Amino acid sequence: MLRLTVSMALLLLSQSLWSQKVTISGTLEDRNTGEKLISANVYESSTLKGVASNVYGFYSLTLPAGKVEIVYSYVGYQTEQIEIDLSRDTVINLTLEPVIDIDEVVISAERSRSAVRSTQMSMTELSANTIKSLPVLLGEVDVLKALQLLPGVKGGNEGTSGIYVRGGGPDQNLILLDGVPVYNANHLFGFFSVFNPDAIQTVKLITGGFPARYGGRLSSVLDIRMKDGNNKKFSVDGSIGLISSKLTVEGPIIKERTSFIVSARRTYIDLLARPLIRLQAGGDIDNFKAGYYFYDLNAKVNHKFSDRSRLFLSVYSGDDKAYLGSVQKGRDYRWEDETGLGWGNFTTALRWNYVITPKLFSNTTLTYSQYNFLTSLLDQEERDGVIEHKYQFSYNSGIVDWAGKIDFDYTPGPDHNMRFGYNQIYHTFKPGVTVFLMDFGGNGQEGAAIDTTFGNTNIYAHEGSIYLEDDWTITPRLKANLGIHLSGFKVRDSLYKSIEPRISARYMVNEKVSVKGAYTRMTQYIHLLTNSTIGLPTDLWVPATDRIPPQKAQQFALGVVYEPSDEWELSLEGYYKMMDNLIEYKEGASFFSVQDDWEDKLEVGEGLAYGLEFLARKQYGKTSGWIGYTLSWSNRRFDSISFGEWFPYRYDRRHDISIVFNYRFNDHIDMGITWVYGTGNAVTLPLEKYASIGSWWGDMRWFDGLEYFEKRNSYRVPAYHRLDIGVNFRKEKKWGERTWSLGLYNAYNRKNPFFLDFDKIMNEDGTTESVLKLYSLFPLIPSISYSFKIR
Amino acid sequence: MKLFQNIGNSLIFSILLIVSVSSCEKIIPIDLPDQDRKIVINGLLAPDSLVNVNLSLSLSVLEPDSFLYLSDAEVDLYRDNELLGRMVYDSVGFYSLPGVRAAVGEEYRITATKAGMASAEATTTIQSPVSILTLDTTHEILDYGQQLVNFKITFDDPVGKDYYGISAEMTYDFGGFDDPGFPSERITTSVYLSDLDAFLEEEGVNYRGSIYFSDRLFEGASKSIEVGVSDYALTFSDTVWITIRLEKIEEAYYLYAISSQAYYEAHSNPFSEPVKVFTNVNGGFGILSSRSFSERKFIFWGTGYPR
Repeated sequence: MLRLTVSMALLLLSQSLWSQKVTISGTLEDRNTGEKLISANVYESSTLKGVASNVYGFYSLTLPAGKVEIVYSYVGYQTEQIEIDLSRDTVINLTLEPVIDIDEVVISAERSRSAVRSTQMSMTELSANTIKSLPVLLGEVDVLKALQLLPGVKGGNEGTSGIYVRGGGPDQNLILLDGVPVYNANHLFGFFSVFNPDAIQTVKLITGGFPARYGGRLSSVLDIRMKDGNNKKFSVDGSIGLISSKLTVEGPIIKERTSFIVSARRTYIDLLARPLIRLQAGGDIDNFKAGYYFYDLNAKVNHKFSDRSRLFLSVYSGDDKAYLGSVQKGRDYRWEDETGLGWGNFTTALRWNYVITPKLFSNTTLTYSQYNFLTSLLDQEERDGVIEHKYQFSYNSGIVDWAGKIDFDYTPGPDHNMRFGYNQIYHTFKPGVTVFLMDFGGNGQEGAAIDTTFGNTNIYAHEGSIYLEDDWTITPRLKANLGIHLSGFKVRDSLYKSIEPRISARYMVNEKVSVKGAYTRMTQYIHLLTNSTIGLPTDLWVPATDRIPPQKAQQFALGVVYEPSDEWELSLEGYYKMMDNLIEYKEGASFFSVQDDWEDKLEVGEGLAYGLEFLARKQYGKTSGWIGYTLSWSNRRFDSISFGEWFPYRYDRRHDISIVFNYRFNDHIDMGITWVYGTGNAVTLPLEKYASIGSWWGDMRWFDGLEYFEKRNSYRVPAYHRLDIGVNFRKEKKWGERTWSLGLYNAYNRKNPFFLDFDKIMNEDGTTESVLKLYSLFPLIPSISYSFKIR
Repeated sequence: MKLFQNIGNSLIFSILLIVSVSSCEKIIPIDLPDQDRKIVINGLLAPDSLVNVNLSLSLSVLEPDSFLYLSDAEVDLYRDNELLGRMVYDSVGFYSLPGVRAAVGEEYRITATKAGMASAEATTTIQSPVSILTLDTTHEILDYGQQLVNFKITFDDPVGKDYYGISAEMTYDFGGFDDPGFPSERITTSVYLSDLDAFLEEEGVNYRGSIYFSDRLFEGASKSIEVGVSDYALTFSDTVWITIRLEKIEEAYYLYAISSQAYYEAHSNPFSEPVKVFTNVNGGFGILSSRSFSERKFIFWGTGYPR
């Protein structure tokens, strides 16, 4: 493998030695806001040789010297054409003019049949505007729920925003916010995701054919880029919804050099629920409290030192808090109990872009990321000011990462676009520590006190990786992305190493049709301990250890892309994914069996997922949208679960359909409709019961009832389907623009399954009967929100 | 530890309550696919004991009973594939073939049929007992004052994959009290065993009063295992007989025991993964297996030491 790597590097470097080549480089920005344009196309018009701008808007295109016409194009922007006589390396920093109203419903995608031409398969890019145009639960725009509408991506339970990609688990998605991993992307037990759409510029999801620059997860890469902040003028965006409000402020600090953006969101479920709580407390609100809220804060500042040097500092902070407590008071007596639950992420990144040469772009990043979960309980009784008993319990878990990385983009010639870099992460895993305090101070039991801390100790680990990839135009029809990702993980006394080749290729059948294939090998050094029955913030990130090896996957994908016109794109992809060293709780184990070490509670096994994905989408015009269909299988096998039989993964879903339809009536009114259908989730449900031996000694023979299920997840809950409708009414105002958004979630009031449970009901004749009940969470829910833009 | 488990569960329940109260909820009874009833065979054969099995019917989970005994099945008993005869129904689901006692090393097969139902069959081979070579006792006072009588059992593991259980039983006379209206009664009951041994702590599974384990860590070697009985058991009577048993069990029963233990533990915990209990009955459910045992009996006077 080393020989292959060296050969590839030599081959690629030799390309840079070609003579008579000239490089055009620069950055592409929005003319009105100065925001960088990511994945914009830059190409020479006669040969169509070109590149796409990187995530910092930088491009570098090397062409033979002479007269050329360079085309700059980006979806939703006026295409620019520049004629130039190339004799030496040239820098062209360009701004593009938006051609459509910013609020128009547009799917961001690379134009000029970029989907046909790109080597990247299994990738979808959504703009913040697309995400905002979709009708949603309670009017809360949600990035992850928008992604659930794409083929190959499945949602979890009703209303939740978890994503399960190509048969993978929720931990197998590398979720990057401005390049920093976010470990728990959910608020309110998964009903909302942590990403505030007002602060987001683009969202890119890759589900297969992973380029070598990405690593560390098996199933997907979700690359979310925050806005940099308008460097031309100040603006304020905000919205007021049923459960939360948002406010975003952005503008220049030094015009066209330094800009900032601050965006915040907070729910007010706790405030809205107060009257109900007051009612529950019999008006004694001072002595009773209960509530829940979450907030997000995104902030970013960037400074342009020169055309070659730029610095960014971004911060994200988000927390969920739930609390429940009461106080009872007498003349000499006071009793208090309080239960709290909180979890949240904090991430920050400092990055420096530097254009070393017109062909070589560098990005150096330092990041910090943490996720914390804390639950606590206090029960205290005082008499005459003296504590008679105090009982306190708290449990804390989480993960902290410090990371540094350096990435380079190098364009040695018109046929090569190389990337290479190094990444190092220092992880601190906190797999759960319990603090328990019991004090009977004044209760006649002098000295009867327990103050103890127990649980798992922190685990420290180093993860490092290097990568090299080249997007290589072999012939005008054949292009390949060849890469290698090498990684290592040091934990306790174990060192794991991994060599991960990444190969993607496309062959142009004609201008409108291409065939693509990819092979990737991925390694994941961290696991998520999660209870399959419900998604909770108690889910625990733990490292690979000497007992629990790293997860590994190999994926093959093959597909065809057809773009019959500029407006339509059709794709069909098949994939086959083999996964090893997946973890599951042992049968009978659970998160709260605290007497066991977490490693004792786990089983290591394998997974197999395969399927077909079809996507047809129309990207431009008054009518836009897409139809996605996935046919898939996802199974698991663990030696000690169901006696080693293969069983369906909980989110194995045979059929998954999503239809997204947007229509713009005029500049003031547009509407969005989505309809989704999915085969019911696979759950474990006993359908039969029988006698088991209770005792078989001498004459002591008796039997117990035992419930039986054929194998894990062998029962299908009813299918899930739902129709959502949203309409936006916009109006220009002197100060900017306002929008009223009306929505209907679950418009035909389908009782979709949330969970199943056995229960007893009473018949009219007074007899009772056992039944299986389906609990549905969200009926038809109307929503309304008001948003504004002050310019 | 149970305390913390309860705290954790109640915390999560509180939060789920908040979520469910704040959202709408509809309950829709749904139908389950019909389940054909199946024949359930349960039996634990032992050397020199009457071959005796219990038959019942499986039910849908929605039915009110836990199970129904089967009284009108045709149950045939085979030994090494030779039909020995049709078993005779006794009561509460028990069938036996008079005069036929299980013999070590023999394979017994039971087939059960009933009109309108799929037939079921299961097979077991009678295990040879493994002798207790030595059984030493010691007395121990624990930190918190409790006293234990410890039993150290040593045996030779035969070559091959083997499975064991250790259990204890006490017999004592209850009543008497010099009252002719309250005659003394001899009672035999199982005794809880403490798994003092590090090996048992790692490998042993407590199920229905026995501790089960496999020989994967001492294959073909001599093994000593220590278990303890609380001295509280010795306060039941002036004279207490304690029997320590080393059970030799089939793999099928071992799988059944460990999966049943996990099943009952998970059944009461909503956050636990569900467990499938092992069955070796083809066409039906239940367990037909065998065990043999060697045992040592000790007599205790009150709270004391063996004599």
